[in-house]
Amino acid sequence: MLQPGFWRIHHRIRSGGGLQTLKNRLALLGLVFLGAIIILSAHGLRFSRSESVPTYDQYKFLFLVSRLDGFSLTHPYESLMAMAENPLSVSRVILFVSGLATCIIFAAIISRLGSDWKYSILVFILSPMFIHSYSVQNDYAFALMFFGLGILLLLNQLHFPSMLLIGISFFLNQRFFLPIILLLSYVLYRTKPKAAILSVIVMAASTYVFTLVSVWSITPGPQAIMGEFISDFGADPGVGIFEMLLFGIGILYAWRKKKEHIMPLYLVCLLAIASAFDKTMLVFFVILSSFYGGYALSQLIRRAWESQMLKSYVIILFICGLVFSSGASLKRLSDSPPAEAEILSLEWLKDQEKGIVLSDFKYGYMIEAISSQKPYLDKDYYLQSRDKIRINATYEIFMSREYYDIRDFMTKNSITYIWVNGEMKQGFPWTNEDEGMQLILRNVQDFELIFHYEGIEIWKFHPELQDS
Amino acid sequence: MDNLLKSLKANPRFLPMWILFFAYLAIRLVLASKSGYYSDDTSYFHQRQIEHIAENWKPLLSDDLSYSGRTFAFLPLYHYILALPVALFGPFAAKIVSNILASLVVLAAYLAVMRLTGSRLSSFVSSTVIAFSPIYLISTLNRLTPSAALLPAGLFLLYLLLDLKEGNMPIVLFLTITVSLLSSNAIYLLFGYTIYILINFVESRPAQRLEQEYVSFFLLFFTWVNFLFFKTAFQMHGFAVMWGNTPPPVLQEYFLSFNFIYAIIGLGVLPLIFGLYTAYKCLFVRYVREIMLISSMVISSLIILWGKLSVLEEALLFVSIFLALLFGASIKEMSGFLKKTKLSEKSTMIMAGLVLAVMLLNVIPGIAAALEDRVSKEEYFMEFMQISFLPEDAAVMSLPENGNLITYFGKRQNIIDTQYLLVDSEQRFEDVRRVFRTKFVLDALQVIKKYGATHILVHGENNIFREDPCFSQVSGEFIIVYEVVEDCRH
Repeated sequence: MLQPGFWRIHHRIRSGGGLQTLKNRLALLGLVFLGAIIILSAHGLRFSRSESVPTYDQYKFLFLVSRLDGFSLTHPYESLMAMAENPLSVSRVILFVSGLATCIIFAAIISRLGSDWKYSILVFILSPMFIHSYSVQNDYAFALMFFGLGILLLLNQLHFPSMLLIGISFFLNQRFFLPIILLLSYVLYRTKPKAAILSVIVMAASTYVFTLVSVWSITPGPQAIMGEFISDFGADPGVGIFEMLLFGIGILYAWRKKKEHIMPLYLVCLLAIASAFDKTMLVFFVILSSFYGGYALSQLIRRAWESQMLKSYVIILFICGLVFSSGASLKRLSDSPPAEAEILSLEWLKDQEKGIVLSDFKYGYMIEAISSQKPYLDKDYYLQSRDKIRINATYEIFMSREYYDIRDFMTKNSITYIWVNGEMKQGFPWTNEDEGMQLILRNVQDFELIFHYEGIEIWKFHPELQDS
Repeated sequence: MDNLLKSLKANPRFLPMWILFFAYLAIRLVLASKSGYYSDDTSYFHQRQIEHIAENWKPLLSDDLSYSGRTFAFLPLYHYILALPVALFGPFAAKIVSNILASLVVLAAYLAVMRLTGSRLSSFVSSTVIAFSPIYLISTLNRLTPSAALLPAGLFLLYLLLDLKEGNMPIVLFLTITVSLLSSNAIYLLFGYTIYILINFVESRPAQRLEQEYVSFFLLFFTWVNFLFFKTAFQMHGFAVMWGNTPPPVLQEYFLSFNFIYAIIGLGVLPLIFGLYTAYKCLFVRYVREIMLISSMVISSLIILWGKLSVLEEALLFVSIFLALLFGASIKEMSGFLKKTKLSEKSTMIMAGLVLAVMLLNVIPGIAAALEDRVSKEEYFMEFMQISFLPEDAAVMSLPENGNLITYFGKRQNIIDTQYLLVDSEQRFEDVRRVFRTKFVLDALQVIKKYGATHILVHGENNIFREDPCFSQVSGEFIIVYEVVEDCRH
């Protein structure tokens, strides 16, 4: 049983601090409207530039919905979408609605926790993660709505429906295991702070996070962290730099009541570490950081400043920074690959005989989704393989000029096609057209250039033809 | 704001300041106008930007000539300031106005030391030391650099920060915005002020609330501006942006060429000794808030220098200026101390001797160094005019330090220059260096082909291209231009 005064909700509701007043409801409506405009802008800007679905990772969703036959427990969201006639459009609508619903739920939760929800919702809506979560196909945004609703019902002491909704969120996305454990440990902390079980749960969560760290073989350095997690430095999805600054200030303010905030801050740290290895966790981190960011913003506005001029400028700078990050994220999404020529090349490849396609791992989902050919590497392999043997071998071959090594590699792995785009030729792995394997491709008869359009090349390997 | 305006009004108390300012301005203008050229190639990058703004009212962000086509990332306020006089009076106005801006350092330093000490002698000596320090004169007399505007503006800001008041806030904010938009080197001021707040916190002397509010604004605005202008560069280069993505071999050369004696002469012997002593005394013996602020600036500059987080010359420039301000404080203290000793009768003579020594050790070497820096390169730069006679689509490969000269004087494409942001500088630098170091023409031709160069620019006749059939000499005396024969380019 939750302790009396645990959430301090009834007082807030009676005093009109929640969503009960017309003014607050109108404010919420305005924020939800802003959220809707942002999500619709993301789609609109993309469509004005290209008809292709943005980001290579999104093709995993398209691949799954086109291949799933019946219900899959490992991909429940994609299975549900696969039942629709036009899965992509249905999923877009579902994500749009989930985004707006999550804003309302988040506002309701914060208002019940006795904090100023308006600024937190504003920070959340202007976060690049919000744009990414509700305009790019993913398997966590829909589940997040159920998770949030579960927490809201828990605050309303409706324990059974709450557990049911949290269970549904876990069913929709098994990676919600960590947030559920963290939520459980937080509830226990607030109800029975000295309970021994709490330490067990926190230890379990910590172990889970650090296991992720040790199992996943990515070791991010400072620059990689910037590039992988700060949206303004190219992370997709990521967090805005001004959002993080506000989060930092929020923590500083919260530190004055550190006894109250120590546990949430510990959970934020765990989520931050976990999100380095699982981008799904980033959305939970962003929600908590938005809470603290909003807290910081409200404190900055309410605090009596010695210089009113400085106060106005600092707040304007923060708002400009948030809007700027949001705008940059929208722009990046609208400009993001793949290009029309890449789609065209893979549609053409679809009509060719079946075979394995060699390319960079990040194009794997797209190759499989559009051409129905099997990629030798994809992002799943990159994320889950510890030794990354295939990736290392592939890059050795890409950079090799040894004809027999290349031939052996192709034959041994039954590779039929090599798909090369402009980014591969002028960046990674090659920097010029004769570098590494490209020299061999152009000069031996085993490899035939079967497609060449706007910098996209598809080479076919003929094992039966051996160059002398 | 009132204080600053009052200070700048004609007032007998500030007469030495105005005399020094006009004398210094006159010396600078005479020395600067003796040459129609600048002393380094980077000035020509700035000159190109200024002229472009003067013509089009927008900076040249996408350039077809540098690196045979690239995008620039830089803070353009300095170029905008100089664009108006250039539009009205022609290209040479940039040099004149830049020198006028750099001369303002005298007023700013005088006022800052006056606030620090209340002594006219200290203010006069200190501002003379700063104005004539060899490193400052070399950096700003015959070169275009945003530091020429940043340093005076930064010192005016520091003067106001020494006694931060709500009433001064509009001009403090104006100067903060100005320094942030002038150059990323404003980080010296920001970092110094942050250290000052931290030291006060550690010393259990909490900074005033207004100071805390101000530093939060400065931090936020500086971050925002740099983020806005250099975001793409950071995405491309990561933390290498701090060094302007300068190729590691060039960076190594910067620091290998560090000469301790040269550094001490650059900083000035007396300001270095007395400045450090004053900082030490404030940190460990007797706390004085204003001196702590300047000492924090010295600490920040030394940390940046020690961490090699900036180009050596820039770091030394800031260290020298902040030490000279502290030197002013130590003169005042020394004068007071002498009056309490048995030497009190001779204190005026001792102080006069000290001032004379400072003049000898700073002013004369300063002017001499600036003159030497100016003369040596004129004829060399004139030779670059001949590049403008090459075909319009020519792409000239040369060492990076010639790149901006090729684009400014020759108006032809270069393969590399010293603007390293937003380009693959490391690879290109290695490749171009290979062309000028290799003994094999085939090796050089491979790089020439890679970057599509049509001409090679070398110094002197002792090179591998002279007798090779793939190269034909087009022109040259100090510098020689070879055309790469059409058949050898592909």
